[in-house]
Order: sequence, then structure tokens, then C-alpha cells
Amino acid sequence: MPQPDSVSALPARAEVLAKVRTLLAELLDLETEDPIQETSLLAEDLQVDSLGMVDMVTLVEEAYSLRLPSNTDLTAIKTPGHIVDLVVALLEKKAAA
Amino acid sequence: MAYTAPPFPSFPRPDTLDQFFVAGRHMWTDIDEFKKWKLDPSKVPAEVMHFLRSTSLIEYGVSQYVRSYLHYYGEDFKLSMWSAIWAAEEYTHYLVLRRMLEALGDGLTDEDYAGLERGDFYDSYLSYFESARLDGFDQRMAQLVFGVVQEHSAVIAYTAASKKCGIPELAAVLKRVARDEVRHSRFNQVTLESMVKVCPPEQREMIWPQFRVVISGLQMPQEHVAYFNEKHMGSELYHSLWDEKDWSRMVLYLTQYFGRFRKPLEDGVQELEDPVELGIAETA
Ligand SMILES: [Fe+2]
Ligand SMILES: [Fe+2]
Repeated sequence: MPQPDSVSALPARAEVLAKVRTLLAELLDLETEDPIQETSLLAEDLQVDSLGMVDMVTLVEEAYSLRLPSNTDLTAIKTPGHIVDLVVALLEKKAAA
Repeated sequence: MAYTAPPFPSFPRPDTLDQFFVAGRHMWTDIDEFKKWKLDPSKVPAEVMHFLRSTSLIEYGVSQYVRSYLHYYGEDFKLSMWSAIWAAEEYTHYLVLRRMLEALGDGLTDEDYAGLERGDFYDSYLSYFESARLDGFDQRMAQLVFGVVQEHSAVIAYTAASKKCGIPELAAVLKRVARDEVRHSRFNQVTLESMVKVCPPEQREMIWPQFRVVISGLQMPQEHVAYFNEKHMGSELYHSLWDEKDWSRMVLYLTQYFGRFRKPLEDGVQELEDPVELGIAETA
């Protein structure tokens, strides 16, 4: 069972989305986060290539002191929203541990 | 020519090389037994037959890779000695895979060996390596970064072939080869980690950017020998056995491994999970 205290300390989904947008904007060297929407396609809309995914994994893991499970399917991460889903799930799991 | 000692040691602890011998090493004592095997080729998908032929020749070409290793390890005699021991294991893989092809009634031909000899692997690899190596990066450490990635991609390839080959005995042999490749990759890791403890900090800081360069333009040995491409045994064959999950697993594993060098290395870093078991476990 999750501990009430640790759950309440978790960042809200909107907060995680804002952080992911900032990280992506830095990674892609964009002046504004406007093109990065929750449902933007990472590959097609934002030109995140496989090397971009390598960087994204590292930035997210470092920003949240997380480790993606080794069976995480990177090919299923197609939008910033998917990154947010993953981070939120991992933070909840970590808090519950 | 005068002996030039390496700027810092590759094996600062006397037990570094031990890890190559003790971590799950086995001796392939049954190579002669394999001569008696008869396997049904109709059960093996064409791309796996092609893969066995291609990788058997790649493993046979190990003398060429040793030549480039010795070039980069130069007068670091411990690493050079390791290269020779490692080469014997890769040659053993050649023998094992050749026996598997023979058991399937499709052994290597004179044309295959002649095709390999026409290659210019050494010069081609050296120019690729030099174009990819970061300026000022210790060439031994750069080669180790390449080594981790190349050996790990061999893990993924043999694990994928093991899953798809259609014959349980053959699958078990390919899994054993994959296990050896884990140990090869792991030894490159162990050595890199041991060098990080004694190298200047700016050398450690080059590991992550060097990994990014390697992974963004990953080249396998066969890309440096024309015969493989002529016979459609190049990288596309290698990758044809991988599914997206294999690719994902490899990129994530390597990203997490090399990511640890972005900061000074701590003692007792968490070991990553066994990549062969991960690959086998995900068989649908
Ligand atoms: Fe091998
Ligand atoms: Fe190997």
C-alpha cells in the first residue's frame, strides 16, 4: 500500500509534463516549448531520433533520480505524454516501495 | 624503438583480468561431439541459416580484429595479452558455428573463406575508428567503449537467433555463445571501470560523448568486408533477426551503462540485469 505522505509528495502530472517539455526543449535546442505538446509525435513532429531517445532516457532518469526498468519498451514511447505516463508510474512505484 | 609506457594502467588491480576467467566461463569441451550432430535444416528459417554462415565467418575473421586491438592497446601489454585470450574464444565460436552449419548440411565453402580474405578489414576499421574517436580520448578507453557496444550487440544477435532458430539443441548452443558475448562485453566494462579509477577526470568525461557517437553510427565488423555485402550477409541481416524490443533493450541497457560515467564512478554501482535472460524471457 502506498504511504499517504510519500504519495502526497509526488509531483502532479501537469508538473511532470512541464518538466518533460523543458527537458525536450533543451535537448532539441528550441527557444520555446510551444511545439512540444503532450500528444506531439516525438519522431515525426519533433525529429527526436534514436540518439535523442538515448539523451531523453538519461535526462529523465537524472531529473527524477529514477531508473527505467530494463524491459521498458522505448519504441512504445511516441509522445511527451508517454514519457510523462512512464515517469508518473515509476514515481508512484518508487513512493510505494 | 623505445618502450613508451601507457599514461595510466588498464588493470590497476591485479585481479582485473581474473574477471574474464571466472565470471561464468566454460570451455566448450564438446566441439568434437558436435561433429556427430545431424540437425534438420527444414526447421531452421532461411535468415537464421544465413546468420549462422555470416557470424561463423565474422568469428573466423578474429585475427583481423586482434590486429586492430593490438594497434590500439599497443604497449599496454596486459590489454594486448587479454586480446589474444579473447581471440581464442571468438575463434572457438567460429568452430562451434561451423559445426552447426555442417550438422545442418550446409558447411562453409572455399568461396566463403576466399571472400573474407579479399576484405580490407584492418585499414577500413582503423579509418572508421579514427573518424569516430573523440579528439584526445585515450585510444584504449575508446576501443573499450566500442568493445562494450559491439560485444553487447553480439549478445542481442545470438539471443535473437537462439529464439528464432527452430531447433532446441541449436538454440541451447546459440544461447551459450550469447553468454560468452556477455562476458566479453562485461570484461570491456570491467576494464573501463578500472581505468576510470586512475585516469584524469577529462578522460572519464569523454566516455559518455564517445558512446553517443558509437551508438548513433554503430558499425559491425562485416561492414568493413565487401564479401558480406555481396552475399547479403551485412548488418541488415544481423538486424533482420531483431525485433523492436531487442533494439529497445539494447539501447536502454547501453544508455544506462554508459550513463554512469557522466559523474565520477561510485563504488558498488548497481549491476544491470542479465541481457540473455532478459531476451529469452521476452519470447512471445
Ligand atoms: Fe563471438
Ligand atoms: Fe565476443
